[in-house]
Amino acid sequence: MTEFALDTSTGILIIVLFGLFWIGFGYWLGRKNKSHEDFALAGRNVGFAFAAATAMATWVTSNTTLVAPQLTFQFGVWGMIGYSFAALGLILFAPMAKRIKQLLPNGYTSGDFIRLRYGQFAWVVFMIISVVYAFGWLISLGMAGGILLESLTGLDYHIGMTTILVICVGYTLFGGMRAVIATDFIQALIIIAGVSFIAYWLIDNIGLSSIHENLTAEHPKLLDVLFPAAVMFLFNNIFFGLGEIFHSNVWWSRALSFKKGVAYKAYLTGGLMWLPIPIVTGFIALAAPQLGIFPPSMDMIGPTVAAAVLGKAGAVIVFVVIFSALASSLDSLLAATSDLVTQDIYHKKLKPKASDKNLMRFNRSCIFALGVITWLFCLPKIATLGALLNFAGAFVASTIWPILLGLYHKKLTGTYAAIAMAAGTACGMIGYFAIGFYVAALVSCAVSGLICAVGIMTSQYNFDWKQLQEEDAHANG
Amino acid sequence: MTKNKKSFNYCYILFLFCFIGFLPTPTLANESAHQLTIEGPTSVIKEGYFNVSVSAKSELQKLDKLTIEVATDADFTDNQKQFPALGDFSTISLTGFSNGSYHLRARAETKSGESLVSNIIQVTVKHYPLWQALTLFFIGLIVFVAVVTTLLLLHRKWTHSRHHPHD
Amino acid sequence: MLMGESVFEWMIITALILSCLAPVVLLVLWVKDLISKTIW
Repeated sequence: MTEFALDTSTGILIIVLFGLFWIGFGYWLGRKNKSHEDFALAGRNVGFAFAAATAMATWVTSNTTLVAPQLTFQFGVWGMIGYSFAALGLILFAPMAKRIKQLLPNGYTSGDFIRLRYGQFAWVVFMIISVVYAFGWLISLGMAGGILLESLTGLDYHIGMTTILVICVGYTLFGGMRAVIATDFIQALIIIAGVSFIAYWLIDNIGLSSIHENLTAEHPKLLDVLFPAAVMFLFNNIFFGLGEIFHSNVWWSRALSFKKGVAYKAYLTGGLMWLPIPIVTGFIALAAPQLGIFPPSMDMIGPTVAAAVLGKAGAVIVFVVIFSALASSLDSLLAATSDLVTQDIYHKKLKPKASDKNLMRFNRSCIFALGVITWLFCLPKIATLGALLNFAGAFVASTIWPILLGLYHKKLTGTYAAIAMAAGTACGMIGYFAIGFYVAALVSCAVSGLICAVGIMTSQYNFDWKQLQEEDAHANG
Repeated sequence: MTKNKKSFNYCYILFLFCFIGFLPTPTLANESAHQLTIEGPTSVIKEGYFNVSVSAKSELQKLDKLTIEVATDADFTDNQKQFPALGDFSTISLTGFSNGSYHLRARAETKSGESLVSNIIQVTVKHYPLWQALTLFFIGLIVFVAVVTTLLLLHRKWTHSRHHPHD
Repeated sequence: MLMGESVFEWMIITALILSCLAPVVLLVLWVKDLISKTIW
């Protein structure tokens, strides 16, 4: 049998304690929820501290805790620097969040905006992209949870994956957005403290110069600043990040739930706080060759190193950190996606006259259903984490230009926006299969940008911003 | 002195035998001689990292001290490096290889202390050409600069045009 | 072209210091919100 860093029983104990705590906390916070707006958007009154923490914590996902070390192990220093550039997504979204809050003071979702700004056709394309992405992310998070538990404690993949899903669905169901944001705050503190501690321990006990020396002698490629594959992947990764944040309702619903005047500085602060995290987590992987650690699979390099050097305590820290990172994203995604379905499909298309109570009930069933569907998809372990996420890059990067121009520019029409998103996605996919994963998002963003440019240059159209607000006022009585 | 010389010759002959044994021609006989089998990537590696997996001939056999030996020549004398496997895992992720052709073999011990050596596989690493990487980099840079400038210009235009006080 | 030792050390240590500052900033902001009753 393989030795595991933690006993299965210790792993289960931590999971159960955390699970009970989060669900209890979610229930306690959920008591304040009086209306659907409370449940979905935390009463649109989230303060600066919670706002900055939730922006940062949601962006720290299995990506940052598992894939950043993996990319560093594969691509060396460029892996971690390139990864930390994903913070640009949050930073560039800051001005947009301010604009969103002004344009849609009563809005609910990103789908809302696309429908009002671009019309039905673009809305359908956008919803397909959103749903594909949301499921890609949900499934990769669920699978990461299962893989983490299995590799650290030997607990069966299916049991681990199920447990993590049950806990996240549980507290999101009880507490709604309030629970998601408050747990994110605590999870952000746990994540940063944990990864900083492990990195500090490595520096203190092994030494930076000794790690650098070993890499220079044994694996010089990892210190190469002109590592071809890493140089290629750099901008692709940035566009992927921009696409994820610009389009996803996870970030829109956050912007809408923040108190007035908070959105801009919250996203900026969140982004700046996020920036050093991939370098800190990635650095953990660079110590691996020096320690003689060559893991069975690349995506487990971070946890493996931490558990190997810190023993049981390290394994517990890693376990808690990654569990928090997974939970802080999983809950946000569950909440935001069910808001999207409740608001954009149920409320606007199926039951325009649904009562507030009805909406809240539907939103809750939706969270539950999303959990079940994710669970079903996670049952077979399909692809490695990175592959699944890179595939989604082609989809989300195509939305960067349509969203950006839709928010600020009157001239882009719905037809061009829809074609830009569809053609960008298609070309990104072709690039993914014909050339490689490192061009999917780049090609997608470039193609959709060109189509948008043509759309604006040939357009006679002038969108009236009031159209966005009139319907809001109408819909909300 | 003469004695030393003689033994050296003897070693040399032995070494020659070993070398013949390692030649990849007699496939059947060769495979049966190895208690361990190492498997690696078959295509050219473009990113400098890959996985290798090792399996013992009889599945029940438990392996100890599994190590992958990597060298740039088939005799494992040139630039030889060793990479230990983690715990009882029989798959190992190797990373940070520069351009070149590498020979790999696995070494392990059985629980009873018997030392095992695997077959040798060859892995070729050829990174993407730098011009290709830099071309993509600059295309990306141009698109990125376009996104950022558009965003900042449009946002500035909006904040300037607003007559309302700051919210 | 390899990254030099001093650049490497400088990068990691800066990142570590910044990441250690983040929880402090978050807690200070939270206390500020708590005092001015603007958490929610």
